[in-house]
Amino acid sequence: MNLLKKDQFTLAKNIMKVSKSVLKAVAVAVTVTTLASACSDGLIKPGGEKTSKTKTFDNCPACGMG
Amino acid sequence: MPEIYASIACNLDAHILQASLPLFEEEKVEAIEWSFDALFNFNEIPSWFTELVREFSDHNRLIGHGVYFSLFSGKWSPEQQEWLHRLRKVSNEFHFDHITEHFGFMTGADFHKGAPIGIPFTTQTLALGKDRLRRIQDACRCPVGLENLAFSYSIEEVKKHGDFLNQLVESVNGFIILDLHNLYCQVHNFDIAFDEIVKLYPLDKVREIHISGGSWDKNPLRGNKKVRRDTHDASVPEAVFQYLRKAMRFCPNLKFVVMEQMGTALHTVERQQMFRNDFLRMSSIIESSNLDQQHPTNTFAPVSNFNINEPPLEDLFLHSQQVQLSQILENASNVDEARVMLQSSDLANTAWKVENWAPYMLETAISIAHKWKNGFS
Repeated sequence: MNLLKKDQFTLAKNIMKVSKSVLKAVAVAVTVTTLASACSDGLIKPGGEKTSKTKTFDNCPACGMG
Repeated sequence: MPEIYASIACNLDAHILQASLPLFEEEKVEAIEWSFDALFNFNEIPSWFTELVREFSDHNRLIGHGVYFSLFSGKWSPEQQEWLHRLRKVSNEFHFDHITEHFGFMTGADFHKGAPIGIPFTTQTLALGKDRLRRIQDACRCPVGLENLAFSYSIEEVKKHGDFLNQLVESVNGFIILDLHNLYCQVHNFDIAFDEIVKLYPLDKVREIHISGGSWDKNPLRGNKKVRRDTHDASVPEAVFQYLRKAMRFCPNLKFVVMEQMGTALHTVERQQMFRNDFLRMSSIIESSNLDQQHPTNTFAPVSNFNINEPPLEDLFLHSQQVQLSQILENASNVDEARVMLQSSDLANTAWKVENWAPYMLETAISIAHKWKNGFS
């Protein structure tokens, strides 16, 4: 029983709630970007336009064995 | 161990954000790791992305992961000075729980565009690394850490990496990122057991763990065996989840576990679903360990007893060796040619120990250097 309480407490503490308005803005931006060009690499440039096909972006290109 | 946050490497990338959005909506993502310097060359960031980052920042759930500083470049560059300036600026705008960078120096024309390559573990390189870490900490004024490198030229280097990292970060009360897929690469590339390699790292200094996927390269120089590469373009291998279970038990100060994947590998609905499945699996492993929470033994709070006004340390002979090595890796057409060039370079018969480099890893280094020769953009 104690374990269950601690578990519930932990989960409640760790939750990170992102506001609905921010999530909505992200969803719209990502959808627009995806529709704009289904074949580009996905990196969104500031201003909303997509980068060209030649632009490559790695989440973490520097870890050493890429 | 303290609370551990299930995190994703989240950047301004449509595919990553698409894959992550359902996880954000279900409140599964407890923190994000942002490669803040990937956007240093852009004048403005879309407000919706800034707001997303700010939400995590405001809740102390944002960590920064630098890519382009090139910690061990022998010569101090204007780009490094500018990088610090921008880090200071972005640290004023957002609250980072900590900042990390990569081990090694970057190949490429100006040492900020290529792939990171290891350096010899000497007193000179140790002093250089400490100098750079102090400058990073002075700019961000929060805990600072370094990630273990996936690439090694030899088993000797693999076995010394953890101790060298420990000596480096000690100077700033820093920590390390233990990248488990990087260890997975070394387990396969050097035929060493995970249980043997992990104990060579200062596990009490692990504040962050990375997991990711990668790929296999055929390499005739290894006979029937393949070379494992940390390409971040596939699902997390089963073995890496098992490593996570094992490693977490020995990391009393662990706070963030981050899943990394390239946006370019998340271009289909199926792949995005696999990404989420991997994240949820990682999350469930963390949840079970969170039942055993204890207070951290080290918060890695910044130290302030060094004078940052001294000129940056430089090692111009190391710089010259790095220039030569970059040129060899980027221009050699095969391993034999590279070995001849190395033997007639300033790296021969030095602490670099080029004579002991495994031929298949030299070939892998050539391949990596060619891939990133023109930078990331």
